[in-house]
Amino acid sequence: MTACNVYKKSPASGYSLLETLLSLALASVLLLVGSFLVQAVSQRASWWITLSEMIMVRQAVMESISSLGKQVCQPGLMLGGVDSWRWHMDKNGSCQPYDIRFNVNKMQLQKRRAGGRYTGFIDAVSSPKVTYGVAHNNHCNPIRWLPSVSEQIALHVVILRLQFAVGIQAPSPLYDLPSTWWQEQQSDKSKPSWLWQPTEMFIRLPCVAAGVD
Amino acid sequence: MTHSTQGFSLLEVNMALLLLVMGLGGILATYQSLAMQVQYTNQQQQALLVFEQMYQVLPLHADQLQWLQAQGGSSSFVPNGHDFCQQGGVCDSSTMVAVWWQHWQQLITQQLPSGELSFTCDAVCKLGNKLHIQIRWHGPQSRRINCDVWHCITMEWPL
Repeated sequence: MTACNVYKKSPASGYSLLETLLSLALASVLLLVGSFLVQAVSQRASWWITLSEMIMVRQAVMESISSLGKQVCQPGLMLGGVDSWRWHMDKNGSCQPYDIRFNVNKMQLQKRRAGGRYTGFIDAVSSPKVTYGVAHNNHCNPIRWLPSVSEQIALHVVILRLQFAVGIQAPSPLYDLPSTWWQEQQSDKSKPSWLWQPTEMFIRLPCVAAGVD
Repeated sequence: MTHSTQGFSLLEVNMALLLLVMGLGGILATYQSLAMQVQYTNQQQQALLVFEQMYQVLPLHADQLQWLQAQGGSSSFVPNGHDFCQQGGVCDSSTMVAVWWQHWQQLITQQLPSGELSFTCDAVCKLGNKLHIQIRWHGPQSRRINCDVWHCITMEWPL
């Protein structure tokens, strides 16, 4: 009996070595493809989580600033700088001066009642720029935008333009960032980097002249 | 019954392949659905943020809206002095509102796929009917489309 004849009879007693090897090779290829697929999906899902987090953080930051703006009362702005300003806010029914500032080191928007201490109320903001929309006397439509205003001009400011970036901590993305975003690596490489997205919002101040408030 | 030791039947192989394809299909469908959800939410937030800016700025220029509407509110209307009006220069209210309109158009074009900002208004708009300001963009098609083949949000004026 030749070896060939032995091989021909073997199917009745199970798989040949060749069949077993081919099956193992096929299974390996399938597992490899599957693992690549799972890895790709998981990386993409992680990026979506980052994106979703940015959407939610930006929404929360803007709502907080917006609700702050709704507390402003007459006579509105008192003084305006590049990244800080003083205005009147309603506190328990009385209009009191408050200072608001971007603290770049702490990446916070902070506020204090006149004479008090600054406390942070919004985190994860950076690259602030404030511009002031100034109107003519007795008008409420801005005719010029200034980077800072004195006490005299502050009386005619009808709207604030806030430009800043909202950030989240996230691992370095494997994908191209949206065009306006940027990444900031921390000095400690083991910590996740910051991803920043620029945004812009306006706060309208009370204006009696044309009945806009 | 010797053939059970010879391997899987054609039916068994087909069923296994079917299960494999269904599993992969499920993973891909979930992947697509999540991708579109995130993409759509991001785009809608961009559009809403522009509307938020408009809600604050446009009431201050309410008298000029009819004038702006007369210009067509289209991208072909590009006022001079964009930087001048936003960097300390004194501009009249019409120029200021036109500059803002151009700014928002650019923002939408940059951040939304094929994004557009437009007025829609019927013939009697100037007689006091509502003016519609609309942002529309091409987004994930599996989401409910509310403006023909576009995604859109619309604001009515006066607010």
